[in-house]
Amino acid sequence: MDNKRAGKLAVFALLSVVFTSCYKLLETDFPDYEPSLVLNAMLRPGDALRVHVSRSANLGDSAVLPVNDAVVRINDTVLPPVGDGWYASSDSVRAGSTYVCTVEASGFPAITRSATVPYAPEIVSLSVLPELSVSASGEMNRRYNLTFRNDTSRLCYYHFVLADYVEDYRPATGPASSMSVSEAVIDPNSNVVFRNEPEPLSVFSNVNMDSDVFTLQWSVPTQMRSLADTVFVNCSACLELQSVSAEYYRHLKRAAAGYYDKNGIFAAYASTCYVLGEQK
Amino acid sequence: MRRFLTLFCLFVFLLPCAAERRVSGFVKDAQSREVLIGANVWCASGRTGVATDNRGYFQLQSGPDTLVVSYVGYATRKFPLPAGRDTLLQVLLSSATELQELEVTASRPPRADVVRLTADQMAFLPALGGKPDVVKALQLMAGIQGATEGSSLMMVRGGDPGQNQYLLDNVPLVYVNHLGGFMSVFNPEIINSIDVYKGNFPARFGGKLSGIVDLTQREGDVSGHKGSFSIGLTDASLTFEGPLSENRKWSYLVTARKTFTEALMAAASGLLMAENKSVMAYGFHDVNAKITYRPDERNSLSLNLYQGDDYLGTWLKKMEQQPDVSGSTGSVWGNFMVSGRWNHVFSSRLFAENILSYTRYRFRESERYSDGAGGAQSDSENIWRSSVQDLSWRSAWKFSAARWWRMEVGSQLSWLSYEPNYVYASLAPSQQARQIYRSAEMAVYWENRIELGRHFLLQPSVRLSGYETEDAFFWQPEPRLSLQYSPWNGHTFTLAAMTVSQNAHLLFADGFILKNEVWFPALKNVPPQRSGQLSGGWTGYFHDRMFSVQLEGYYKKMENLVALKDGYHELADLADMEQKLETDGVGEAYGVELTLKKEKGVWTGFLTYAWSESWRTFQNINGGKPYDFEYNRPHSFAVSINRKLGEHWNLNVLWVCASGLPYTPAVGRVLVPSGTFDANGLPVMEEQLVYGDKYSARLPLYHRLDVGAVYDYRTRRGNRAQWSFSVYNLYNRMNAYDCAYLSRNPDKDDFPQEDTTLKLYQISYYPIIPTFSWKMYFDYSAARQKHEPKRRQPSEKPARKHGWLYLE
Repeated sequence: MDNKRAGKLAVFALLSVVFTSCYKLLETDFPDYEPSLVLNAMLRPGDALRVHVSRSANLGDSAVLPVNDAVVRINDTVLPPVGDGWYASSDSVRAGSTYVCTVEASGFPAITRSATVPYAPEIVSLSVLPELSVSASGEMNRRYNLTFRNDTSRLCYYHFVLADYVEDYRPATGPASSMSVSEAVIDPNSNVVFRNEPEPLSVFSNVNMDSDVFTLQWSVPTQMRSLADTVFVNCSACLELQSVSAEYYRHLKRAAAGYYDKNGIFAAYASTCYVLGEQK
Repeated sequence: MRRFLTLFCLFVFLLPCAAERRVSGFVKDAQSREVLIGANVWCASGRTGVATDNRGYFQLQSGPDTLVVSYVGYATRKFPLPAGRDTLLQVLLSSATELQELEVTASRPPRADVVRLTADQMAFLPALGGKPDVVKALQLMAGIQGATEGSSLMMVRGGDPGQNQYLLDNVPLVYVNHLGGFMSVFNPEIINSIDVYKGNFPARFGGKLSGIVDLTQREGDVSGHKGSFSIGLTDASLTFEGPLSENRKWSYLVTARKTFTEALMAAASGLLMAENKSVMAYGFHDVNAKITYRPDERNSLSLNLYQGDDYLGTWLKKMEQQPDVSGSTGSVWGNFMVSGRWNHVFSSRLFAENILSYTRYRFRESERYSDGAGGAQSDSENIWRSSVQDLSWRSAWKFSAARWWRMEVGSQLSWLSYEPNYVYASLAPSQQARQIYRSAEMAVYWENRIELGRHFLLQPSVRLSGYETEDAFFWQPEPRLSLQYSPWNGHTFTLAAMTVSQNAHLLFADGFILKNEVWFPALKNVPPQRSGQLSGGWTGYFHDRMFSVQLEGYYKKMENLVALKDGYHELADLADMEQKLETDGVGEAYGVELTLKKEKGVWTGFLTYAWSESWRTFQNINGGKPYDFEYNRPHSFAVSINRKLGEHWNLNVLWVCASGLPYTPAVGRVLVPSGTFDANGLPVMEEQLVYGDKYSARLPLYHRLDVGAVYDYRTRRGNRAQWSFSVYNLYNRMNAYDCAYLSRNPDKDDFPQEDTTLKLYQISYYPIIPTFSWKMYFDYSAARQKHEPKRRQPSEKPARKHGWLYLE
């Protein structure tokens, strides 16, 4: 249904000619928001163990400030501060391990989060389908099939990411340099897996997968040339299939609706990427 | 016991009848024979009086007396009733301009929870599109609110937009918006009268929790072939009506509306947005037709037809590099309704109405793509559709048991078919199984109107509703009680209680541009909505009914409300919809409403004020805490002043003021990972907002001033014509439509770029908008009528015809 979003944009653009919108300042003084400690982490196998600590800010503040004097422990290991709110150790994140993180900072109640790092999914194949479809704004969509292995013995969560510009790629951890991320277009009626999955459909669970191998059908506008042409052509783009922790799954679903936890996200995931037509 | 019952029946039915005779019949316009709805009919002795229903029908019982009949804009007439037995009457009134108006002195005022609006009252209100709109006019009434500015969604006493029933000649219409809510589907050309019940529903109404909008269409004018043509900024409409036979037993009324925006929009999207790869067009049309056959005074048969659709389409422009490629998207949505009605007067004590109807609402979106050079695999078609079909039979019987006791009994049987989500993809390996929910609704009801002495009116009623769906059966007794006390002439105090249930849930799914209405039936795990309401009020008339006051308070509780769970927005997401609903919603609403009206003289107008609170509670929404209803405005105020200037001009000023709509405020900012990494492999952090309680803040006060003028004149050919001018939002108040947290004003370029503090900006869409429309009436049988003998003057002496007494 991404075609429809493009259609909306076009119609809204036209309506804006008829009913010219107008922005007017409504409020600059907001009530003080009691600050809270914010703990963020993205644990990936192979990465150094690191978390970010900050404090929430009022709407009228100029910036959200990092907290550099907190005491951060992960599984009884104290992580020293490395600046700008980051705390890191030399230990690497291991797939299958559970990490419990506690943060203490003066003036705030301590917070504790935990996450189990999943194993990276195994991509079996990627194929392009011959048919195209057209969106309301006249863009054409190209369809693809991505087949990967699924562990039916346990509850898994996946996140499918398209990255259409990657400057650096590290085989161990996936895309590592600046890139822009897009949501794949997935038809909720293409498979029972997506029929009861809230948006965004690029984040999904294996609750309704009854097979060890699952084929994800997705599409992307052909205007996204770098990707549409690049899945099999030499170009700087990739797609990434992430196996994500339960908390990260919930965070991604809520974030799509614009809602974020006031205490941050302690996420863990492991990914497999396709770049230049080869699996990494 | 049986003997006792027999004696009781004899006492109740026969004893009063022995002393008094029954008088019943119709009140109509003397020329067009259009029924007059809400006309007051009472005995001069003041013992009894009624108002005509939406068929123009009345029943009362009296001794030897003089009958008085009045209707706004018509001369009040007194008719001495000849001595005799039960009498059937055809009362024909002439407009007040032809005869001297008499003063109205009696009859019970209408209840405060009913709003009545006539086509004439609506005609002079300034309107956004230059032409009057039914729902926009109703939104000015106390207790009825609109959604966002310009929308035709209607909320009655804190209820949801899907809790209102729109009846077109007693047949429900499912979808009532054109142009995404900027206009309603009701063509004002065919409206005779509109009654809106905000509470205390008569037992004949049911199936919706919050409001009943009862629209009565006109019937064709039997005095001659007439019509009108009007054109405004968005659409043009054409109306024809007249007799179909020389004996005036048949009449017809046909009206059609059509936008002319399609070509303009296609040209604008093609030329102004040259970089766009497609052309876009939007339009709508609707057609109403009514054929009426009156073989005699006792019978009236009519056939009604309504068809209306909105359509939005895009077409791919030809591309030089791919000349064989073509593609389009299309959306079409609207109603089709056909009904047949038979009214029969059995006797002066029994009147029956039977209606058979079929209504269908469907919404359909489609995408097509074809590549002539790509073979069969390059052609694709996707369709999304949602629909409701309703085949119903309704039967109502009005019976006058005694002077002090009238009743109506009736039944309804409906077969419904819901297909909330149909998806077809031509290239899919297998098609999704269709999910069609079939259900049956049935109801029987018994309404009573019992006059207890001269001052009290008791209306105990009950409606027994049954609902059968594939996996469950629900039944619900819906008792309703109303007590009116009229201590003085022209003043009534009312206390009322009612319960009602609703078997269908309305949800909104995102479409190409607009939100689309998706109806979902109650099921075992999605039970019917229920509501109970208590209300009490006072209606008073002053200065010979020149002024009226309505004051009412209410408390309403709603259960089993539904909402889509987070993450489900589009029609394609809604397969297995039962799993995607929050079904434990509770709603609570209460408020006070005040209406002041001046309905006579050169200055007329109304003032309405409503204070209302409306809350919703869902276990999984807002942490289970109650939150303000999305469209609730605690204070709403409207004042309309109308002034007739000479023979040609009519001026109207309308000022509307209301609380802003609620929104969910942000309370703070946090850093969260964006999902990308910097050159050092560190996650890139981005700022995001943290929101507070749902709908816990409110946009600024909404107000605007509209002015309108109607110039009525004769063309050189003698046709009556009207120019209507109106200015929407005269003082260009930029009312908040929505709001956004931004670091700079997108309309201004000179804002310091380095300032990253967030501010709250309101977004406004409706500046001052001048509009106009032109309407011309034509009478294409006028020439023939010039040669017809002059119509005889009304006579005080009643004439008898086919057993009916004609009072003219």
